[in-house]
Amino acid sequence: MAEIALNALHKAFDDFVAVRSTDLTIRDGEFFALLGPSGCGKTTTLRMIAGLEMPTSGRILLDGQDVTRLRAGRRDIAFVFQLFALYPHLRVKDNIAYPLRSQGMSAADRRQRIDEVAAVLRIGHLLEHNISALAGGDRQRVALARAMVRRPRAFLMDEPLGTLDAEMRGAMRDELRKLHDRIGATSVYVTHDQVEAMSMADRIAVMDKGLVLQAAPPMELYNNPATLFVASFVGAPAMNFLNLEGPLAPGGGTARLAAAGAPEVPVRALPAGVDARRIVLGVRPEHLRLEADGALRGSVYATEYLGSHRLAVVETVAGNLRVRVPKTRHLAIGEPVGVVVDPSKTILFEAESGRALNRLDGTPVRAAAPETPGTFRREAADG
Amino acid sequence: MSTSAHSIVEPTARVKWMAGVLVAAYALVTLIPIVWIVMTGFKSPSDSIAYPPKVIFEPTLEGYVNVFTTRSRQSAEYMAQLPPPQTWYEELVRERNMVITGPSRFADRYMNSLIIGFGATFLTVILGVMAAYAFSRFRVPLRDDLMFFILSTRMFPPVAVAIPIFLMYRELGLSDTHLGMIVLYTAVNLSLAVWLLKGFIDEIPREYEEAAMVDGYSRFQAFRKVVLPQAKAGIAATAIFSLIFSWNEYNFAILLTSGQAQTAPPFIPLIIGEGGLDWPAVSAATTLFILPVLIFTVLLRKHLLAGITFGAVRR
Ligand SMILES: Nc1ncnc2c1ncn2[C@@H]1O[C@H](COP(=O)(O)OP(=O)(O)OP(=O)(O)O)[C@@H](O)[C@H]1O
Ligand SMILES: [Mg+2]
Repeated sequence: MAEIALNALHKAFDDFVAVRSTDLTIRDGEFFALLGPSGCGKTTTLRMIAGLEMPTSGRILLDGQDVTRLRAGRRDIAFVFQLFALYPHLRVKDNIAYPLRSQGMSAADRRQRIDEVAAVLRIGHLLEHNISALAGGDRQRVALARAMVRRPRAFLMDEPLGTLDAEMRGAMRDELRKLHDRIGATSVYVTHDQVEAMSMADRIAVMDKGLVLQAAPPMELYNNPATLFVASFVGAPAMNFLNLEGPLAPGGGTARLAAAGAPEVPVRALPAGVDARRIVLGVRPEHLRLEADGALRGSVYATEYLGSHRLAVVETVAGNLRVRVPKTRHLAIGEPVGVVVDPSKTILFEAESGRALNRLDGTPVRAAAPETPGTFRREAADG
Repeated sequence: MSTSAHSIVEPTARVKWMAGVLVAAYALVTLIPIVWIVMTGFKSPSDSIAYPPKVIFEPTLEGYVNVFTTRSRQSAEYMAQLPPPQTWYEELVRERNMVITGPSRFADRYMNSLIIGFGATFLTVILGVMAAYAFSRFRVPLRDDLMFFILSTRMFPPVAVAIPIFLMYRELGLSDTHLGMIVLYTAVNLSLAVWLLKGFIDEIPREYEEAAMVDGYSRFQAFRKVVLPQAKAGIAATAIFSLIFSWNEYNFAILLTSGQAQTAPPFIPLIIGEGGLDWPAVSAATTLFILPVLIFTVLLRKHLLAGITFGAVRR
């Protein structure tokens, strides 16, 4: 059991920065997800925590102990690789026993530990099999068993469900989360799939271009994204963004959309000290309404039936907007509609920096500390 | 190709049959000299040079006895007063009015070949696999240039540097020593070994050893326990190539060895019998000389094949 702290952790490959001066604390027993698009530095971060990659600068603390220069095998952390990295020349049980051998554990004790984890993961019947004979889901379980058998202080998982088919992935997702609740060990889970992160994690760090943009619980991330990127990356269907024509009046009221012939929409008040010239309004599909006399005119471009509701894509002068409508509402393609924006459900962003200016409930967001340009520390918003 | 609607990937029976015949014919052509050598080893000197060549002959072990012994011709009176022969090979020699005066140097030369050949092979594989691993896994400065440089040592025949090496070895006292020959053959083989093994190690996902390293093993332990078993096929191939070169090498052996460290190749063609070369003895020596490489290759064959199929299992 351990708390993992990253202090100004930085990694550059030659002159390419893969992870940019990152501060992050992963609490003891937490299921923490690193979420971000391909190439944003998730794997590199995880590998540095594991000791497989040496940071260029910064520190890694495990329960307050500086392990930055400690070799991987001494950190007592387990790593589950995307491709499982099971040894094809060994049987299932030898694969699981492998970490125990390095500790010089007796054969009887090993046997007992293996039987324990095999029971937890329900792979007891596979122990004598060869790795190559296993299906994807079973390989995944064996890889987890190999990670668990040592009872490490923390688990690191790099897209462990990435190679499984959709159905298997859903099942393993629940299983992994249950397993975590049962063992309670700190877990760091890397994924580029926001659904996976949202459904499993206690907290999620959203990364882009080597930078952690926001670390928060899923709901906080969804309701109060710290940046435009987080807002667009988290949530499916994605948030709608409308460029406003500045400068905005500080007291709120209405603002014109930045498009030829666009109407005015009501907006909420801007916090003080903000560049009001270029502001982006973000609003989730469920916070838009279709009304016959809505000011923002458009026509139905497409509709998607999503079971519990329907998603309408409305073509307007300000771009295509995704609007959530009840599943009973019937819409014909091309039908003229009006979109209504509820200003109390919007988030305003500074276009230049991408920074969010308010929370969903309307409270203003402090600007980031100037000594860490580009990083968005949101301690106040955490938890 | 047949025009009927057969599978386009499976060859027809007739094509298979023809391919079989071709392969058999090729095997026959390449095997004839070897079969001839083995046969000559069991011929008497006169049968070995008979014209037309004899395919049917009475086999004798005289050639093998001659390889391992030195003999001298004696007068009939001397032969008559000798006690009866103790062993079958003394008897064989006396039929030609000769007595065995001692062992020949063939066993020593053969031993030298074994020490130098396997010594160089062992060293080549050890150094080669470690260098290949480093090139494959670490950010070695100037890696590509170094790899090219290593390959460039193969771009001229090794004997091209025979004179400098001869002079250098004389200065260093390495001429005609086992160590000198092992180092030389290792140096020649290493470039191929590094290239060959790097290819194999590149194919092994690094997650394998990283998993071991996270699980408590040091990098060296992970290398030994995870990488080496997976690189078995490459190691076997390297060992075979290396042994074949070191075992058969003739030019350097003749230049740099004469006594103590002389290997079998310069020795065998010089086995002289009465009235010129002793062909049965030379053939017998050659037959014995072929055996170690043959056995070694057959023993490692299953690892070679395992390597060929390995890539298919993985991802
Ligand atoms: N050893 C390396 N040498 C050079 N560049 C590297 C190295 N490892 C990673 N990178 C680069 O660093 C960036 C971040 O890589 P990383 O593997 O951490 O991304 P990721 O977020 O895990 O992406 P993915 O979702 O594709 O796995 C990538 O652009 C990658 O090309
Ligand atoms: Mg990755």
